[in-house]
Amino acid sequence: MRMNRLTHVILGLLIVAVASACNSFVVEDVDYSQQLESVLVPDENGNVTDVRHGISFNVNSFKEQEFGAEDSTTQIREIRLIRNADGFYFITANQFKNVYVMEPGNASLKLKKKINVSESPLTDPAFNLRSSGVQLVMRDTNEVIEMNESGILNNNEEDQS
Amino acid sequence: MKKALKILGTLILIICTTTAIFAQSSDYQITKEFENSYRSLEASINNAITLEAADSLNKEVIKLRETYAKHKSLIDHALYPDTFEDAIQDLVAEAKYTEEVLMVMEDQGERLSSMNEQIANYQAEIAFLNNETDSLKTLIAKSEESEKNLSRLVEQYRERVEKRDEFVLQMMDSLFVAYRELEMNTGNSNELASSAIAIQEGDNPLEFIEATIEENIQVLKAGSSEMTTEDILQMHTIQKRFADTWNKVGGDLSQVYGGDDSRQWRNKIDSQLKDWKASTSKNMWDSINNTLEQNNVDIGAFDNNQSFYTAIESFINNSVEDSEGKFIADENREEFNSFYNFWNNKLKKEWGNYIQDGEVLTLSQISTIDAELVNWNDETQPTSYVVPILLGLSFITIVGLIIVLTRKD
Repeated sequence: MRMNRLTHVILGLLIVAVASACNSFVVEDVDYSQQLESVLVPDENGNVTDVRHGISFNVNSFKEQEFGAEDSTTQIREIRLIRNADGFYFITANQFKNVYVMEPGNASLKLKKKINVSESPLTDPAFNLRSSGVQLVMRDTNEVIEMNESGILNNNEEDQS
Repeated sequence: MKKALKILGTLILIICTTTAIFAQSSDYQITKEFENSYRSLEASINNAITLEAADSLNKEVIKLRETYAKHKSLIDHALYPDTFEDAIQDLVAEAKYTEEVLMVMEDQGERLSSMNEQIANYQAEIAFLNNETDSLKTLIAKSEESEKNLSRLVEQYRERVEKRDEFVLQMMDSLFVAYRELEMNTGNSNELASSAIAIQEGDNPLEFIEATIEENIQVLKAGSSEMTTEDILQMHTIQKRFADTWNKVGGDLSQVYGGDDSRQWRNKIDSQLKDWKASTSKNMWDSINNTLEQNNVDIGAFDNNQSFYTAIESFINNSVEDSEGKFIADENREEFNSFYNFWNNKLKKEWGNYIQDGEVLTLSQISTIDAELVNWNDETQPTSYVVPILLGLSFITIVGLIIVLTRKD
């Protein structure tokens, strides 16, 4: 009787294991990298769409993050985003002081890291994708900051919210 | 010039953007600058209007390719699904096409220029011809006017000639009669002269006579081609009457109305009459000869009354001789008919009065020619073949009868 119970348990565990193995089908070594940054212009509601890379979202959340909910005067004229090989989106814009590393989720973008890149608002930022990671080029100062989803590489001036 | 500046602007833009790229190193900006340079160069190629500009833009395409070749993968990504090479090839093809079109246009431009030159030459030629035409039209108008004047002159002459010349002749006759009466009554030359002055109330009759003769001479000189043979014959008759009358009274009229210049007047009018006669005669004989030619009659040369008569007579005699002995004389008959038509319908019927009055031919000469014409007519009558045929048939019948009768015996 005890053997029978044990057998049932083992069989049950086997079934669960096989079922689990069937549900966790995963393709490895996927490269999500986007070679060129996308420069998107928000509409009157703050929505942007990158048709080529298949993403659409509202920039107002970033605006609140960057300038605070009470700031209604600052407008985002264009937003820049790039995606690295691991699939994280790096997002910034003029007048921002941070780069937002966003992780795509189920119909959502979840903040992975907020990287502070400047004490003063950026005036002419741009992203490049390199093998080492994502570059933020500040064309006004000709300064280049390399980063990944964890933060600035070779630089400790990062702030995680 | 504007195009050249535009191309220069494009080149400067390309150089500046290339420089900027290396300073800032934004991939996105590199692709955007490439696109801007590309579009600008494409517009310049499309707007190029000279072969030199197209050639220069060709070089700029090559330069663009060289400049951005190291960013090929970036640009490929930006231009997806097109590629950097596709874009450059398109631009090269556009530049080549533009160059070809411009070559054709330049060639056509040269041809157009040549054609314009030809058109200008034609226009000049047409203008020249128009001027010529205008000049010719003016000349024709003048000529027509002149012809009209001439016709009018001849017409006036026809209208006036009889009345006026008759009047002058009558005047000369009456002056002559008056003079004779005066001479008979006075018998003194001084009195004659004073009486003549009394008669001479109007213009000097000698001047009138002189003007009349001169006018006739001028009419002949100017309008003889417009005058018919009949007109000239009429003038010949009048001239003859003028000459006859002048020969009768000219001396006396000159003496009475010429005053101290009587001899000069006489000589002058004598000379004028001689000219008039010569001119009239020449025109008259030429005109008669032309009429003969129009009737296909060639009687040979003649230039006075006697030679005209002799020519006719010889012509008829020769023709008669020609016809004699000929069994069939169609040609002679035709010649006879032509002359007969001229002689009877023209010379005798239309010109008859002037021929006699002007003594172109005398009545005796006309009668002689008529008689000779009758003879000529006989000689050229078509021969009847009935009698010879009947005789021939009779002869054959008789011979046949003789043969038949001989055989029976």
